[in-house]
Amino acid sequence: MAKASITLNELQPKIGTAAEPIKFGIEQGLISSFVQAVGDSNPLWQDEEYAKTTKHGGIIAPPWLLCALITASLPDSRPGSVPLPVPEVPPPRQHILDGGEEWEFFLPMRLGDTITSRSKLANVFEREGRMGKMLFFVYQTSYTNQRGESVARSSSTLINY
Amino acid sequence: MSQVFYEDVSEGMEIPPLTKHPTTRQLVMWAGGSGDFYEIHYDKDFAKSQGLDGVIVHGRLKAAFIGQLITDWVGTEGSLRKLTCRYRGMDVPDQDIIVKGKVTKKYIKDGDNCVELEVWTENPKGENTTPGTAVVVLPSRSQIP
Repeated sequence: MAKASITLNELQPKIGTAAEPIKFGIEQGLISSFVQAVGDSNPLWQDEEYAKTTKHGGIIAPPWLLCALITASLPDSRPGSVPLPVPEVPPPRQHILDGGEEWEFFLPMRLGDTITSRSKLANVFEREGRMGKMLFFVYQTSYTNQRGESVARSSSTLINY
Repeated sequence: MSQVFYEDVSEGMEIPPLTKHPTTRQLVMWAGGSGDFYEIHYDKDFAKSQGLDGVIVHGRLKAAFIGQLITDWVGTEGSLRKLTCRYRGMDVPDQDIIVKGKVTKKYIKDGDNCVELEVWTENPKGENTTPGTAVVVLPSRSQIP
């Protein structure tokens, strides 16, 4: 139980820790595999001829793609491991729940774009919850394209108890 | 696909619901794409060892379903600007998840036709398992010939 002895006081200095930036290319294969997983047949994500007739002038990625890519850090093959936006600061207690998330979308992600996501640990606090004292890890992630334009921003909360 | 316009929208109106029925295959596809390989989403024995009745749907896949609800509704000329959700209840695969939304507010800000929505998912018992909110921008009939 050594890990469980890590206290809030020891975690607080880690606030601000940034993860390694992650780059991903907005390719048709990537979009199509998520479109299948979600079951979203909107032609704007896959049909170039159709997409040309819209205000976007070509295929864009569904904004919900970022719901998936928030966890697309380096794969971790250890059994039982959960994806962490900032793996550099592992939550010390046994159980992890996703609390919730928010996304703001500024610009569409277009086919051929390269997106860089940068996550940091924005806050850690403790609160009395259903399971006793629970730690809340709040992460912020920014997404920029290859021109350095900000395309989106997200915030997510993990509950650790 | 039909296009909804700002003028068509009124506060309190519901948007067309979306019924999803995720299979375990879809959960594995989502896991592979997203890197969320936590076993509670595809390994029944592991899920049971964690006190669950069986595998559960990824919270962020439900967020994506809500995203689809909204992008289906706003059409190609509208935009999703903001989405929030909380993972309040767990959902299981191979049953319906009904995704719903309701207009809570409409206003023009900095020249944008903004519409705020309450959005959520419901399980077959009618329980709200993923409450959320969204902000979208819609085209105006006067902007599009």
